[in-house]
Amino acid sequence: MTEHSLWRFSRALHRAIDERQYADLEALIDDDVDWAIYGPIDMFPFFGARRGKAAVLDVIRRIADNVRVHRVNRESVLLGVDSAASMIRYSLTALDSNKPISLRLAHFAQFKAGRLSNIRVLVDTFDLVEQALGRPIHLPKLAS
Amino acid sequence: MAEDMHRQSVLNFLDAFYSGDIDKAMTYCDEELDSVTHAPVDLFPHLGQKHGRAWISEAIRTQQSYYSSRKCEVKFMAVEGDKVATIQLLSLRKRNDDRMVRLETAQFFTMRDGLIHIHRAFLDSFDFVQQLLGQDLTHSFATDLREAMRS
Repeated sequence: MTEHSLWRFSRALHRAIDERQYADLEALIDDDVDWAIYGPIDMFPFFGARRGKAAVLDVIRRIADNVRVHRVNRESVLLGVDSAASMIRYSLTALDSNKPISLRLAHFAQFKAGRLSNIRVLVDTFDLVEQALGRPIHLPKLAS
Repeated sequence: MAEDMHRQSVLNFLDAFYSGDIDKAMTYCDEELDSVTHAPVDLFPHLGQKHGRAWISEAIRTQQSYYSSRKCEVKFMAVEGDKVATIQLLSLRKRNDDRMVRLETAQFFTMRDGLIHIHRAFLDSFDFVQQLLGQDLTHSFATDLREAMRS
């Protein structure tokens, strides 16, 4: 049974972030990849949309420059033929400040011929900003 | 096929939820519904961790009190076994100033006996807060954040 593209991509991504070894990852990204991590790009420059392999590898290098991954816990995974969706809990360290950051995120990925062609990542960014600031943000009550 | 039924149940649930049909929305949920929306509960007290399908009623009524219109467009959906995942584009019109806010959310559903039993939701909550306030918070915090990340 062939291994799902998600697992190869995840291993290569974590190797890229933690060991700065990008060769495996580069081979698993489509040339025309459409990539988006939703969040405040003025605060976290590695958020936002990217198009194409070079831009995505550049943003992964930026992520590797900023954080180290300590633990990855997949809380839910759905695998389609050429797609995958996961909820993941990450334990990270911000490299500059050595602060621990706990992050839950959801991602939706699509693959073409085993290569990542599209990914959307959603994070509770308000919580992330508070963790990075090291203090709560006080605002009036709102509703969603 | 069970996966087709799960897909349709979630679509029907979302349709009922955003059309404000509380009774219908609740029929798609298990009595022991376990829901977590990853968002700041200090700002959104009706979100966070909730137990029991009565929360559906509370959530719809709370949203209706703040928004005059609520639209949901499912942009992506995946189903595997008893799990369903969606990305939705929500368009909400605020009652107090008639402004539209738009956000993408990711929702994960786990079904039990054909009903939604576990629900998890994610959103770019910082952007959502900015849209609701109608002000850019990034400049207020960007400098502090850069300092905090260096210290």
